[in-house]
Amino acid sequence: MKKLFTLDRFVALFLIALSLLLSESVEYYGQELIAEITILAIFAMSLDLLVGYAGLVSLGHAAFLGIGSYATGILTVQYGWEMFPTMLISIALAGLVSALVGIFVVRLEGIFFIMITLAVSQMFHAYFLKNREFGGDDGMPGIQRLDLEAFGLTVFDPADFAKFTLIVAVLVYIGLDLLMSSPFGRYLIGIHQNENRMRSLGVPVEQYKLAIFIIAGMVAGLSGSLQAQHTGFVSPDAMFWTVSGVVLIMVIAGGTGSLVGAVVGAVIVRLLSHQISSLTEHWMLFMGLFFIAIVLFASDGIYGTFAKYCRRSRWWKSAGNSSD
Amino acid sequence: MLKAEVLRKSYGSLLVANDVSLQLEKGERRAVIGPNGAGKTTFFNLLTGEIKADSGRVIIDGMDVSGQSSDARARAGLGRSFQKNNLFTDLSVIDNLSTASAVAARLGKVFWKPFSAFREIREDAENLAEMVNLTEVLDTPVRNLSYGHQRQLEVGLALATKPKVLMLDEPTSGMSPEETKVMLDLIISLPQSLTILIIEHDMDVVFGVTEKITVLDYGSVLIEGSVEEVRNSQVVRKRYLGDAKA
Repeated sequence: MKKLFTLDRFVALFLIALSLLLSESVEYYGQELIAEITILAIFAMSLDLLVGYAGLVSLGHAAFLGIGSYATGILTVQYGWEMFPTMLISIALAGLVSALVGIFVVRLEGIFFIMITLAVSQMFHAYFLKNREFGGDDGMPGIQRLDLEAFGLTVFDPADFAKFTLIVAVLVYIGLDLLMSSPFGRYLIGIHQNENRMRSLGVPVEQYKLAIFIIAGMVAGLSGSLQAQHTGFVSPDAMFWTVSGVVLIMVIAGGTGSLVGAVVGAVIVRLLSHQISSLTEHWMLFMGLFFIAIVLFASDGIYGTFAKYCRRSRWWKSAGNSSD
Repeated sequence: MLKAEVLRKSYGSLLVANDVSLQLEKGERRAVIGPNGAGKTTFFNLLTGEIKADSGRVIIDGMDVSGQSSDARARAGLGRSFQKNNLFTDLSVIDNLSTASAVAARLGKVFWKPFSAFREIREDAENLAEMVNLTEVLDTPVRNLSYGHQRQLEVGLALATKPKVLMLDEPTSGMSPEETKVMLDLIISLPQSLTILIIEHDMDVVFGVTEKITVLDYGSVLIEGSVEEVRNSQVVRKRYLGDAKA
């Protein structure tokens, strides 16, 4: 039986407490960085739903982030919508597009799935790059932030905006954690483990893959909307395939198959690249070495490896947890 | 309960199922035997829909499922085990069985309630584990199980969906004589009302489990009859059992 206090939830709590503490103490740039990483973490969690739970390795997930960003930008800047309904529509739109894409791609496996998601996301990138109406390659500036006066938050204050993104991230984490511990989540794990067996047990596998593809797209759309509000700007670069690649690296570096792993990956990769790039212009080299080290010495990812050792250790077992 | 009508399948000029027909009554236990490459597993795959037949029909409990996918046929009541272990290798025995039980209970669309809250699923899974003699290894990950235990779990997963027809593809393949004995007892102990179709090479198992045998050869039915009829058939002796063994 699953305990209420799993290692995952423990670490999640720790990360949230740490970020809240930091958002008070650090300077302007640090607060901006917290918001950026938190948004990335939401995006990484959405990708982990596909990679870690359903076994769908997508190299085009940034397309849905971009759609969330553009929807937020277009609706608020060009149509003068309020931010709150815009966010809901942005999420729904990202879900709709991922449904349309998903119908075609979830049937594919392995390398074909990777290539087709890559291709589709590049199509979206090309469309927004060429479309003058939405700013073309210059992008779209002037995106406002959600008004949170009613909750006592001034979103133009970077510390408050960081808190806002943290609250959203926590809600996303709780929602997805519940989803993944449900029977639906168990089906996905079964499909990831052995798709053919699930089918012969009577599961229409493609429907479940499509469902998680849509959910992942919606969460990515949410992170896109937040990103647009954070930077006040959206450009086609947001959906370029390298963005999908970087977040995939984050998920893998953190450890696939656990939401916290995705978050840890986003935090560590972003912080490291930030730190190393301020020391040397050859920072990509050191990032490369770092990833090689992970592949060689922590093949379950940073968090995955950490969790494995924790579960084996006496301390964790003596705290009344089984070694599941 | 299960009816196959003139199933035909060919890959180019290679005919792997040549108008194979078969009818199982409720509670009947039937063995399909035949030399290697006779098309036994292909026949199974045609029944379950994993391979689409070129022509012919499959009827489960009065329902024509010919055009349907393998998951739809499973929902209609076909449960199968595989010749090669086909399990959830990173999950424990109990998680394997409870996943299958959840599928049987059609819980897949439940996303708001923790899986662990479904006590009846856990109980189902524990009962299944007892049925296939895996109670001592409930929490062992499948990849750490002995081969014999894995084969037992293979049957357990097929049983979990509470099928109308249980299809076992060489449940004892690769097993030691002791393990085979355990499997044989397991199959014999299954409820009499369950219709069973079994592919098997071990003649002790075949004769121990079934009353009626279908012999396949080169993708067609060579003979179908009671154990005695098949044992005494000249054709079968020549083609399959070998004169010495008779």
